[in-house]
Amino acid sequence: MSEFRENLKREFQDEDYRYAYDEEFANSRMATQIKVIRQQRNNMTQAELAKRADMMQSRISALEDINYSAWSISTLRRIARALGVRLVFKFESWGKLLKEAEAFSREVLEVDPFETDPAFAVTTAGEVPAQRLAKLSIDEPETKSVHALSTQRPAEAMGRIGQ
Amino acid sequence: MIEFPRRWVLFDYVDSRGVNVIKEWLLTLEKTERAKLNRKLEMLERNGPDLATGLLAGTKLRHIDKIRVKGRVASRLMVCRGPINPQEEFTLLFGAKERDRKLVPPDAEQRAENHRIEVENNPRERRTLHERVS
Repeated sequence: MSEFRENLKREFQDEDYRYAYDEEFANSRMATQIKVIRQQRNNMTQAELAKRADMMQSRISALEDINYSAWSISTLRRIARALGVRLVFKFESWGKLLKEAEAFSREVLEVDPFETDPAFAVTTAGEVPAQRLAKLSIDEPETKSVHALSTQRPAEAMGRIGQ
Repeated sequence: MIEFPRRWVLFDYVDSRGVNVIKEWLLTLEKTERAKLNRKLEMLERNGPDLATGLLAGTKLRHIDKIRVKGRVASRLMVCRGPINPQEEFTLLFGAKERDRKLVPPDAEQRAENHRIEVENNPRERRTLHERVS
């Protein structure tokens, strides 16, 4: 395990320390991620993002500063929509923070918009993969059986293989 | 392909008695302030000065920047690039507070600049690798 993680694991034994560290981490990640995703969108300017989110450019500038801490969910939703991403807010384990702090980088913060999200990518035939899969399961029995096996519970699948 | 950022090296200023005064100052902070400052120093070391906006704030003096730490008391850590190799390292120079938007002590920036010059003239004895205090 890296020295970085070992340090955090030791320091996080103290409750006050880990909550203060996480507060700083969360604020700086959100501010930096807004900037990184904005730049990922063909170097969109703060003024362009402000227009899309119906805010002042100075507000975007403030939100991208890692010392900002007065986040509101409604503001973040507007920013998310303006950047073409979804906003996630949920509770997490402390172990996840070790990984996130260690991996923190521009590449990790980047998020594809819906249009280039691989999960929704259009195939050469003009179909999205999910539609293609559904079609295969109807039209091609052999493919269906393979797919069906992979989605069954292990015991069911084993039983069918043994038949 | 993910390109991992190169690491920056952090140093602490050491005074003429050989004392790491940055470590001494860090020990005077509240634990929660140290936690927040440590996260910022990690970002500086692992991601450099450009990824996160506001990580370093300028001062009146050209070579001196400050790192802000929010808490019951507003702590400010004066730092400089280099000064020996500005593309690879930062040196932590002087710890101060800020009250009513004024530094305490008031000459904190100048004292940081004096420390920077001392390090520049004698890097072997007037700085040491940064010591994390938690």
